[in-house]
Amino acid sequence: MTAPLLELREVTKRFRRAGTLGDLLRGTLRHPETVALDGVSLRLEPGTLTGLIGKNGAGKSTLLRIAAGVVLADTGTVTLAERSPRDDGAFRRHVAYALPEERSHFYRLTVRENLRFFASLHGLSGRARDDRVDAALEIGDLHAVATRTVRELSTGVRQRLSIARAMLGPEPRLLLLDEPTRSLDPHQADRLRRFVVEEVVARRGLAVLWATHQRDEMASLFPRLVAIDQGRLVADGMPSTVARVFDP
Amino acid sequence: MRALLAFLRRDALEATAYKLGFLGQLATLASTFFTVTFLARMLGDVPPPALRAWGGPAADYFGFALIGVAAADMLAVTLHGMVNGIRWAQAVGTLEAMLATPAPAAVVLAGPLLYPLCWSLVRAVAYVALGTAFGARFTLDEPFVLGLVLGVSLCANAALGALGAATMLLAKSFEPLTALVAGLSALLGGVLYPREALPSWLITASEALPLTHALEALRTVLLRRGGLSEILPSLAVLSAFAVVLGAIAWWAVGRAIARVRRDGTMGWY
Repeated sequence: MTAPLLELREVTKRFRRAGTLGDLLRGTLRHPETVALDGVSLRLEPGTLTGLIGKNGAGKSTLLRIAAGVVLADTGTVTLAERSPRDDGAFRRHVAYALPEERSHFYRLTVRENLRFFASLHGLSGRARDDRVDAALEIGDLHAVATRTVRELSTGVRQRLSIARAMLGPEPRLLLLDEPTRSLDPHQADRLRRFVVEEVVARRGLAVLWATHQRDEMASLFPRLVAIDQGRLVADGMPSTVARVFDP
Repeated sequence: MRALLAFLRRDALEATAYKLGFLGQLATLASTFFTVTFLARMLGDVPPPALRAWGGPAADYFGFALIGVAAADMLAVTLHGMVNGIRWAQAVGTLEAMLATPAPAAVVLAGPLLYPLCWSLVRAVAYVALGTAFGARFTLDEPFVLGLVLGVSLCANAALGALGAATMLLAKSFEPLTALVAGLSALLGGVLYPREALPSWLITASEALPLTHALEALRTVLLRRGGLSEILPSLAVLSAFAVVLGAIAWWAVGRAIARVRRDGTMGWY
């Protein structure tokens, strides 16, 4: 068996709702915890594409954010290329995480300026940064809108910008996508799927974890599906196998 | 450093994209300058007794107040810059995106301070230049000492600002520290009037504010031709503020970031 690139072992995450002043006045400041992930274990090998499925609120986004090192697990361990999320930058330099929120861009800046800024946060400068920005524009098919401000873009184009931005880092080894085709037209969705399969997985050898609700993607895109329900990993295997035990 | 410069560039681009806001800042600068000018004219050529410490019978309220306004502006920016930057990033949704990159969290928090700080430096130079053109008397025999005072003062206030930023990371909207320090500094720090005009107990209380010592040192250099030896007491206090508050802020920011990553509330506002 190939050594895992990403390994989650018995990861548990609970969230507690923050109390409000109203809660304080009502004497109900403490709320029960919500279990987002409950003992999830998962291994991803380099050069593999894995679909992550589950109903709304099942814990998919939490799993992605923990794998990205943005949120820390309560218990269990997360390892990416022998690094822990507590290693901060050394961990995150290997992660390409496309945030699902289209609000995560600087609306008054152009597409190119947004990418330039984030490339600098990846430690790039000069020619290397400009080359990465050009490559990201190509990935997102964004050349035509490179000089337009983000506020002028449609939701779908902003989503493509999120994906392009995720690929800015010089040495990503893991790509995390949270419903990346949700707002894309069929042409752009196909283009993204081809890019991930042919370029990211096959040529660059990244591990990709792709959360989705789309049945056609579940059936045809992924060699492996992981199903999550109420924070627990309930199925893991080929799509045909997972479909027998889990109905998304 | 590259990442910090990226923040400077980003914020300059954003600021110039808000054209009316940019013009508004210029208007604020002009109105503040002329308010001080007219206050100085109202007081006339005979300085009030409390001002005589700053130049004897020839004390100049105009220069005194302009230094106060310029320094208070710069120190207020260092106090509020990080808090405003975090609040803005939380509200527009960019904080999590920035903290998902390999850039150190300290850079993401301190970066938004650079542009407002540079811009406040431009405003300070404008106050001094306009003041000189309108008859204020400044001396700049010791530019190195002036730079030293400014640097240490900014560090002391930035540490307070970082403490505010840590609070904002956790509380999302309520951050009382910087507002309290800014309010007390404006009232007690000696911005528009000498502290000697205050009751003695308030003079004692004002010693706890970095702005008090920063203004004392800046005015000693710029109004009384003071050198390093004259400002050493103020510089020592400011350095102590910078070191102690800086250490506390470093610890608090680290704890706050760890907490929001644990709670999963990085992107909340």
